[in-house]
Amino acid sequence: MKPIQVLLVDDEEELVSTLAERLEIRGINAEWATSADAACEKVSERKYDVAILDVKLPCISGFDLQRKMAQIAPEVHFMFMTGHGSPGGFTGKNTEADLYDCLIKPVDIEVLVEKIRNAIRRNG
Amino acid sequence: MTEPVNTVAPDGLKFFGQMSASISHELKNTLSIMNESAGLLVDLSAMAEKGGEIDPAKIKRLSGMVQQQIKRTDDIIRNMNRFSHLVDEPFRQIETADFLRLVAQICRRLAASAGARLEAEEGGQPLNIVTRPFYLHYLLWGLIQFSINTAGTTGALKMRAEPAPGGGGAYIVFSGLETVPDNPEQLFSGKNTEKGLMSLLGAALHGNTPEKTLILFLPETMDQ
Repeated sequence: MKPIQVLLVDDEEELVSTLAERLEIRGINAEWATSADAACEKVSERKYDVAILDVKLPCISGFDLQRKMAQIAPEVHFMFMTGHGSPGGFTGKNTEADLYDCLIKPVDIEVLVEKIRNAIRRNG
Repeated sequence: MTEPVNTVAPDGLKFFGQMSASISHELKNTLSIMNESAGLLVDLSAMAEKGGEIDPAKIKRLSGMVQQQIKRTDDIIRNMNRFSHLVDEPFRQIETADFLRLVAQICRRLAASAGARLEAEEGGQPLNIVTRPFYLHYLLWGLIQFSINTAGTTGALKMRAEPAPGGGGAYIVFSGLETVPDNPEQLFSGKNTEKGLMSLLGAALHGNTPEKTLILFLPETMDQ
């Protein structure tokens, strides 16, 4: 079975690089980007199954970036990470945000892996 | 007539909340990095228990990353503590360059979200003024937002303190701007909070169009 391809997007390089390494250990191919431009470049260059975006990125919100990336690669399944205290901090207000899985930082790696695998199952 | 302090107080609470939320987001980031670094160390240990090799350089790098984030967290908490204590006394003597460093550190993340790099330039001689520190921080954040959203920035948005020519107070100079109107105070027309803050601080704002700087005058002392 082909390994799952994941793209992590957050301006904290130490976070995404380490998280990517932990996903690799769990059999998920993970790459990362620390800016919106780099993320768009990556999705235009290769195919990802899942992209996990920070809600607050420099110059752009994760939701705006999601729209840009979805135009380039509509097949990607998107999830979000946030430093909010609870998902209620931003979901429940924004109907768009409510469509996606949102993870609260610090992320539990096993929960993340489960959400990634569930997303792949749902999308076939 | 409504007292300026009554005009700015409700929005002041909003400002305090906005800064506190930004600080908490930054703390969440440092915790996340420490969480993943520690998690990766656990993953590597588990792999070693099954006969895998551990790269000592990687262990050293991850431990160093945790130490760096502890230092970063400590800096954030120290700044948060200083920010929280700004409301302790209505008036206080501040050293302007030191105050600008605090403002830059507290507002850096929000400025970065808006696409600007915020820097406090080192001053020369210490320049002390007596002011309302919480309201000054609030006004400076308003000017930072104006600089980013309206004036536009070229590279870093810089703040520096210098003695006002002729004495009697301090200038806070914003540089790194794309455009500056001659009379920036007119931008506050209809903005009661900013006008209230200027009045509370006895401040005056003017622009230097050729040099593209925004200059905030603050008096050396205030009637308490």
